[in-house]
Formats: sequence, C-alpha cells, structure tokens
Amino acid sequence: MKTAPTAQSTLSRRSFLKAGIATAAGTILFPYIARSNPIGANNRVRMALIGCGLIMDGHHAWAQSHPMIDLVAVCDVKTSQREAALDRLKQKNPGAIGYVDYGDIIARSDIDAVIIATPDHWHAAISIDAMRAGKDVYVEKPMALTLEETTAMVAAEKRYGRILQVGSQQRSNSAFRQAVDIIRNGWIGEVTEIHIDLKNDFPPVTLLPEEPVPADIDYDRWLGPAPWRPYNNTRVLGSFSGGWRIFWDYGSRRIGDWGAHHFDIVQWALDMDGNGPVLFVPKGFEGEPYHYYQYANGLKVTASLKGGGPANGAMIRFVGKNGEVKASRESLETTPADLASRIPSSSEFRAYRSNDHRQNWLDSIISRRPPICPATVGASTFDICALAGIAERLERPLHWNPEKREITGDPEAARFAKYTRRAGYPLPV
Amino acid sequence: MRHLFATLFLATALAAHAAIPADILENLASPDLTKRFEAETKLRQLAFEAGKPGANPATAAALVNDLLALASDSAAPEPSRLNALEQLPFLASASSVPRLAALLSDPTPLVREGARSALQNNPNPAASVPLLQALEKADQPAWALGLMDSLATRADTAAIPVFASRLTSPDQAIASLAAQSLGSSAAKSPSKP
Repeated sequence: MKTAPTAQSTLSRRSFLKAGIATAAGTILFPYIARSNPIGANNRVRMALIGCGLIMDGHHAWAQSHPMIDLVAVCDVKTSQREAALDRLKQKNPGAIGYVDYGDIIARSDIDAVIIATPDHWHAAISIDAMRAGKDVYVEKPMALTLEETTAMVAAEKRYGRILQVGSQQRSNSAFRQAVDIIRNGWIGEVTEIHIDLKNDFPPVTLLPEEPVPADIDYDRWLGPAPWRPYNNTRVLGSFSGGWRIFWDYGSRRIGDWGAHHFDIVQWALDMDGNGPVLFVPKGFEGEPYHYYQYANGLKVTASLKGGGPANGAMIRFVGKNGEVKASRESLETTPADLASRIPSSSEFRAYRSNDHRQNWLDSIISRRPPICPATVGASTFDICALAGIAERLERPLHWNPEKREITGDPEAARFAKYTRRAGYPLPV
Repeated sequence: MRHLFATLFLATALAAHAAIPADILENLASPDLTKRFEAETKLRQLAFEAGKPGANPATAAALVNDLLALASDSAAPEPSRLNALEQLPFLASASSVPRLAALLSDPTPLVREGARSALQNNPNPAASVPLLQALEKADQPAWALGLMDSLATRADTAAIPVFASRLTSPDQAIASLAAQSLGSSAAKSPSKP
C-alpha cells in the first residue's frame, strides 16, 4: 500500500528549511530514504515531473495518458509553470501535488521514477539524488553541465543500480537506427567523412541589466549550483532560440543543444560508446569554417553552426568509400538507394531496437534491463559536447584521452572539467 | 565626486596593473553594459591567451599578479574585482595562495566566493590550507557549506578529520554534507595496491 505524504508532512519539512541555504540542504538530507516498495504487481509506475517548462510538455502528455503510469506530482521553481502543470495533471489525478523543491519528491518513498527537464545545470544533482533515493530517472539531454558531473552520474547509476535514460531520443528513431546499421555493417565501406548540421548558432552571450526578481520564481533555487548573477527574465527564460540556453553557466549552447543528439548518433554508428574523439578544434581556429573533432583513426566530424554546411541538407551526413548516408529525423537518403530499406541478415549487426524512447525507459524500469541510452552511453556523448564547448570558449584545440577522460597538455583547459558550485548546492554522490 | 573617485582609481590602477590594458580596466565596471561586456570579454581572452600551452609563463605570472592586485583592491569597483576573480580559477598558481587566502575574509560576500572558487581550482596542495582555516572560523552555515564543498572537491585528505568532526554538527545540513564529503573524499583518494 503506497501512501502519498500528507500536506502536514510536506509543510513540516519545508518549515525546517530556512535562510537561503536550507532548500539546497534538503537535497542532501533526504535522498537516503530509499523507495520502500518495488514496482507493484500490476506493473504500474508512480512518477513525478521535475522542471515543467517547454521540454516537459511532451513528457507530461505521455506520462499523464499512459495506462501503466500513475503521475502523482510535479515540481518547478516557477509558480506559473508549476501551477499550469498541476492544473493539467489534476484533470486526471485530483490528488496530485505540486512542489517548489524537488527534494520533496525525492523524499516520497511512494514515487518510483522521475522525469527531469530542468535547465542543464540542475540535471546531475537531481538525477543523482533521485537514484540515491531508489528512483529511476529519465533526464533530458545534454545530461549534465560538466565532465565532473557525468562522472558522478555514471558512478551513481552503477552504485544505486537504477535505470537512467538520457533523453537523446534520436536513438529511438528508425532513420538514425538504419543509418547505424548501414555504417556498422560497412555497407558504404570505410567512413571517410562525417558532417553535422547544428543549425544556426544562438545569439552571443551578453550582459543583462538587473531586474527585480518577480514573485513567480524562487530565483535562488533556479540558480542552484550556478554562480550568482543578477536576475533578468531572459536569463531564466525557456526558449528554443535563446533564454537560458545561450549561457555557459546553465547549458552548452548549440553544441549541447543539438550536438547531444547528433554526436550521439555518430558515436553509436562508429561503435564508440564509452570511448570518443581525441582532438577538438573550434571554428575560427586558423581559419577553420566549422568546429570539428577527430577520432584516433583520423576520422573527422565537422559540426556547422551556420545552418546547413557540408551536411548537405541532412542532420548528419556520413560519407563512405562506397556510398553515402544522409540521416535526419524524418528522412533517410542513401547511396546506393536500397540501403535505406536493407535489413541486416541474421549474421550482421543489428542496432538496439527502440521505437519509442520513453517507452523504452518504462520497459527498462519494469524489466530492469538497460535502456537504450544509459548514463554510461550518454556520458561519452556529453564528453564531446563539453569538450567542443571548452574549445570554443578557449578558441584553441584540445587534446583528449577518452579512456582516462582527461584533457591532456593544457592544464588551464583541464580546469574546465568542473566548476565551483554555489554554497549549499554540492554535487551529490 | 563619483567621477573623480573613478578617475583616481583608474589612474592608480593603470600604474598598478600593467598587464591589464587601460581600456579593459576603465570599462570593467562601466554602467554601459555593452562597454562592460566588451571589457569582460577582452579580459577573459587575455587570461585564456596567457594560460594556453606554450604561452610565456612570465606573461601569465604578470597577469595573475595584476588580477590578484585588482581583486584585492578594496577601493576598486566591485564588478572589477569580481571580474578579476573570475579568471583566477583557471590561472592561479601556488604563489597566488596567500593573497587569495586573505580574500576569504573580505567583507564582500561575492569576493569571498570568488576567492573560494580560485582556491578550490588551484592545483597546488597549499590551496587547501586557507580553505581549512576559513572553515574553522566560519560562523555562517552557508559559508561553511561552501568551504566544505571546496575541500571535498579537492579531495585533500587533510580535510578528512575536519569533515569527521562535523558529523555531529547540530546543523543537519552541515552534518549531512560532512558525511557526503567523507564518502566522496574516500572515493577520490588513490587506493592502496
């Protein structure tokens, strides 16, 4: 029998949290409460949503309508977003509860799993706290903000034995999967070039004038571990073309925004999960028109931030000695043309089959088998996002040892692997 | 009067911070955000250039020296001091430790926070010492939590007894972070063969 916490228990906990640091401290105090019950005999999963902005919309619709999910809580530091999500949820579940502090969800032993769609700088802490409390996690991409954070997430996934799915949903897209089958089976021969279109870059980072903090947001908590900056609505805005996404304090700009999807497919196609490139060169360095990264075998992957570029209209273009693959979410063009529909024989490589990224996660929660994009896989993709971002900021190439996960020969750049978290918001373990 | 004060600061600063060009110093605290951002960007590029592989170590040392002087100058505008501090987590070396240590007790909270960040990221083991000393004296829970986190991130075994002593702190956030820090320090410590 699972029991939701009473309003009193929630309030008493919140009354404990005082004076700025306390909300953060709560995330430290309570995650040790492991889930007391396994998934029930009826295989229903009790779930909560954390971060109810733009990206959560689709997750919310899916979870609320799924016959195997009981969606019981939402969390957001913005009152308007939280209330909107709660109103929507109450149409299905009148007893649902909205929280400002995700620690209140972590503390609920009746919740089995959480979907995290906050800005990126919160992904790692919430994921780790949730896994430590025995919850399974779906975390949006990019899975973290720094290399240190992905290391901690991978360790937590292993330590706590939870199911974590990184929201790189292109792994569950049939066009990209077919591209992976084509490349892995050598149907276009040795791959000699890969080109990625990351769309047009975001506007440059800028200084914003200080504005009064509106009553609608718990700004201290929105910032969380990120450095303190004066409030401005643009800073906290959820927008596909800007808002918080343009700031390195909260995300990894276009490189993380689209790179987390497309680099992920390249890694999969090249069988480099758990491994990675060895060199990152930023656009503009010695006249380079595009970012590129290079694997140890010399294979280069260019990433255009100008819209288009050598991907020739595709999201990802693989060029091989015997053909070509142009892969996008809605289309797959191949040369020779029949490769687009060719089915691997029983002796050939067949990529992990998932046609629905969220369902794949839910299936894994129930079966306890690994999902298609666990932390270990997402981490090596995130490494590329992080390293390309560091190279862009430093305006110089970086050398990377993917086995040791170390930036080599550049002590200053190596210090970018982590950042100083604001007091009261440590990285959980 | 304010203009006069700013001019006096600038004249003094130009003499004291030869490694930081005048236009940067002049605009790091400009009320014109475009100018301020331009100055911040130039300062950051200067720091990145000084820290890149193959750069002249003397250039980096001179810049670090000037950044520390600017950060330590209580007469300098706060944004200038904070901008100087923001470069130091990536450049500061062993010789920076004493002046960063002094900034851990600066009356301006964001300056203290900048010093904590620069010390946390400083690869020299000596950088742990002022963090430990500041933790011993810390009377604000938030500040203590920040210092503990910095020490845990540095994984310096010298901090282990300090964490252990805080396991019984009446402040549950501190006690809990102490337990977590002990765990993470143990995980990061090199294991014996």
